[in-house]
Formats: sequence, structure tokens, C-alpha cells
Amino acid sequence: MKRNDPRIEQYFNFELSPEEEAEFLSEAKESPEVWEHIQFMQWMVEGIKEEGKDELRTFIANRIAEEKEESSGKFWYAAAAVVVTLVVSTIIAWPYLQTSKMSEMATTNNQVAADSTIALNDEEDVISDNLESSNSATDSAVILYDVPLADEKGETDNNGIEYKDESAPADVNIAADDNLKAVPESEDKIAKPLPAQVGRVEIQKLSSEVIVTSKIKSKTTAKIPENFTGLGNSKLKLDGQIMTTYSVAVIEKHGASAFLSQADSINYNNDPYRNQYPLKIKLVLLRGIKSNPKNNRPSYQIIWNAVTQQTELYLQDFGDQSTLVYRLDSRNMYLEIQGIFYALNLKEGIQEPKKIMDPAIIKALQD
Amino acid sequence: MAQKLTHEVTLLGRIRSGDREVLIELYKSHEQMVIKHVINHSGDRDDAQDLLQEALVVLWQNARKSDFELTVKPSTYLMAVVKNLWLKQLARKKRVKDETHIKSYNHATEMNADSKMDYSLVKKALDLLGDTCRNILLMFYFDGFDMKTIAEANNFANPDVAKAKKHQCMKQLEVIIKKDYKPTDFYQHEA
Repeated sequence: MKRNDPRIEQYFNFELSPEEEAEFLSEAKESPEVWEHIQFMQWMVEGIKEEGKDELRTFIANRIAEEKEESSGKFWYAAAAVVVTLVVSTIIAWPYLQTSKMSEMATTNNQVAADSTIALNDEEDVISDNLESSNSATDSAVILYDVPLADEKGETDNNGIEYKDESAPADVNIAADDNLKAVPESEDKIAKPLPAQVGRVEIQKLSSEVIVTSKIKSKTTAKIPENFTGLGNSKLKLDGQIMTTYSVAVIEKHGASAFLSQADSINYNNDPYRNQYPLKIKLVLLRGIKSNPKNNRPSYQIIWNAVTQQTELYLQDFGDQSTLVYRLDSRNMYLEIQGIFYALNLKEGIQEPKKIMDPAIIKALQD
Repeated sequence: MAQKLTHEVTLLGRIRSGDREVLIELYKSHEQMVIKHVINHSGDRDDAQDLLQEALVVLWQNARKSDFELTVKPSTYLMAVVKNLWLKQLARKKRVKDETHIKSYNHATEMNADSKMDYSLVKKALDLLGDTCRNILLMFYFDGFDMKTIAEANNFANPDVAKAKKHQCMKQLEVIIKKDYKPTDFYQHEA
């Protein structure tokens, strides 16, 4: 057999019958040159087949990888869509969530401060009038700020108030206090006639816990710890609607307590974004006041005045009706009743407010 | 039942017509089954995926033979191929391991037993061929298409042109290989 035998080509074109093929191979083996050539050709054919296999494997692998990538992409797309939906939903629902949170806070306050006496009673309409006219408590929600209090001798807190040792005797003398800052008055707050006589009040230690608060971006929310101690909350009703919800928190360290108040005005002003009003509650050191300690009638209300940007304490039950705005320093609480200023030492116990006679203090308070 | 048979006939028909997408469908529908089998038999996920690819290649090649008949369900056939391939791989791995063990003690250096044809030279030479030649050779020897189909796919006037072209391409491939390599390069030996 020669290398130019046409059967070689036919063999590699699969054109030989089985019989012809057997005869061909038998003859080819007799010629080493032809047999080597056929083996070489066979090797090339097998190589081509291997190349075809590799190509097909690559095709399968690539296509499967594409499919999985696509599925993965769809998954992440779906995941991203879910995240976006959640974010949008959260943004939309945020005010309502805030409302819920504040309601929760209010409930907590109620529970913890069972013996507290904040609520409205017969004088409720007085406060309502004031609130309505000043848009005070209805304008915003309360937000608890992280307020580090001085806890070591020689330290001062954010308000510049020095550490005060509770065991130290309180200074009964009323002195001008640099920290004292008068709150601008609006006439409607003291429009109601006030009793001339201020009764005995009880100065209470309100809390022994420090409330830790946290901030979230531009919005500030309060994290109420389990040991939260509040003075309680109450709801004002105006025109048959729930107007405000007050919650009062107390921060205290070394005998100094700070009141914080919150007001939920959602149902009143129908503006859910009011909840995000950036409150600047000025922390003050004070003691709670419980007037007429012999009965359980509500005695005071603390609210946030969105107009003055201050917390305000309205004392009630000083007679038939009363509305007072408090001023505080680290030692005393100052009351204004019918244009007369009184001071209450923050030492615990029952005492009578003392009328302030010092013109300098009166001037400072009036300013 | 009739629908199933129709599906299987269609499947075979699609393979024979060169529709590679059918392999992707089969891969996806059998992947978990093969993974489970391989993992239960000393393999891992990667082994399973390689094995399934290999089984699909076998199916592809076999299905293109004129005498091939799918007498069982494609999944049964595919799993049978997978199992056979896996058994071969396991046997080969065991043999290599045993031989390595023996060699390590006897310092045996026999290389002949596992000599295997090295097709990398052919693959490299195929890359040096033009696309048309490469395509014709793959279509004929791997895909098993007849000259009529190859002619149509490559816009040749008739099957004879395709046949002549194929002959020409084989010669060209031979020249490329023989230009740079000796016949002794065509064999590789496994360690």
C-alpha cells in the first residue's frame, strides 16, 4: 500500500464499509510508512475530537456561569428592591413610628411613675388655654439629649453647672445665680388670676437613675432604659380631641435632677413631621414639686414650649387654679405667682416657698 | 406518556441538529442529582460539575451517531453515564494512588504503562488554522455532521466542495504539526 492510496482518505471520511475497513487496515499494517501515517492521521482526528470536547465543556461552563450570574444578579436586584422598599417605607412611616415610640415612652412613664402626680384635673383647661395660645407643647416631640452631668468634684456639666455633693447642706439663702436665665414670658401664660397664697409643697427626690440618650443623625430620639423613672404623663383634651401627650423624664446625679418633657402633637396639628422638630431642651437641675402633698391631686405639669424653646413647669393646685413658670438654678426653684417671685430650696421635704425680696434676684428673674 | 416520549424525541432531535442549548437545560435539571450522587460517593461539588459536563459531552457525541437510540429517559441515561464516568475516575485515582505507593517503595521508574496521547499539539495547530478549516474539522470529527450539513453551514456550493475543503484542511493541519514537532513529541507520559 502506498501513502496516496485513496482508501486512506475514505477511511478518515468514514466512507468504508466494515468489511472494506478491515481489509484496508490489514493491508496498511503491512506497510510501516503507511501505517505510521494512518496512526498520525488518527492522532490528529482524536486531537480534533478532544478540541471539540473542550470547546463544548467551555460552552457549557460559560453558559451555566452566565445563568448563575444572571440569577445572582436577579437576586441582588430583588434584594436591592426590597431594601429600597424598606427604606422608602421607613421614611414614610418614620413619623408614625416616632408616634408609636413616644406613646410607648408615655406608657412607660405612666407605669413607673405610679406615685407621681402629673395629670390634669380641674385646672386642665387653664393649661390647655396656655398651650393653645402659645403652641407650646403641641409643636414638637420630646427628645432626650445625652447630657453628661458632672459626677466628680470640680467637674462641670454641659450647662456649666458644677458638681454638687448631695450630702452638703443646701444653701437656704437665695442668691443670684449666673446660670439663671429667664425665659421670655408671654402674657397668656400668666393671664389667669393666681392665688395670692402659695401653699406648702413637698420637694421630692424624683429619680436616682441617669437616663442615657442617643442621637440619630439630625433627628434625636430618646432611648428609654428599663430603669427609666419618669414623672408620668398626661393627655390634654381640647375640643374633644387628644391634643398633647406629655411625658416627663428625670435625670439625676448626685441629688440634682433634670426634667425633660415631651409633647406629642401628632393628633393636634396633623403634622407628623413636627415630631422631628429639633428640640433644644435646656437641662436644669431641680427637684420635683408636689403641691398639697396631703392629697393626690395633680400638682404640676412640665411641657416643652416650642416658642420659647424651653421646658416649662406649670404648677397647679395652688388654690383654685395656678399656672407658674419655673426658673431654676442648681440650688433653688423660683416661682412667679402673680408677679411675686418665690423660691423653693431643692432640699427634699415639705416646705413653703419663700418670697424673694432681693431686687437683684427679682431683676434677674424678670430679665 | 406520549408527551414525555415526544419530549425525548425532541431532545434527541435538538442535539442532532446541533442545538447546544439543550445541554444547558439538561445541566440545570440534573445538577443537584449529580452533586448528590458524587458527594455520596467520595467526591465533591467540583467533581460533580466536571462530571456532569463530561456526561453531557458524551451524550452529545453519542446522540449524533446515526445508530444511537435513547431507549430510556434522558435523566436515566445521563445518570448512567455519570455513574460510569465517576467509577472510572475513582478506579483511576485508586490505581494512581496505589502505583504511587508502590513506586515510593520500589523506586520504580516505568513510564510506559500510562503513556497517553498528547493532543495539545493538535489543539495548538487547530488554533493556527483559519476559522473555516477549524470549524469544518470540528463539525466533521467532533459533531459528526455530514458533508451536506457542513456545506450548508459554511455556505459551500455542495457537499463535494465541503469534502474537498475538509481534505485540504487536514493536510494543512498535518503540515503545521509536522513543521515544528517530531513524532516523539506526540506522546506524553503520566507520572
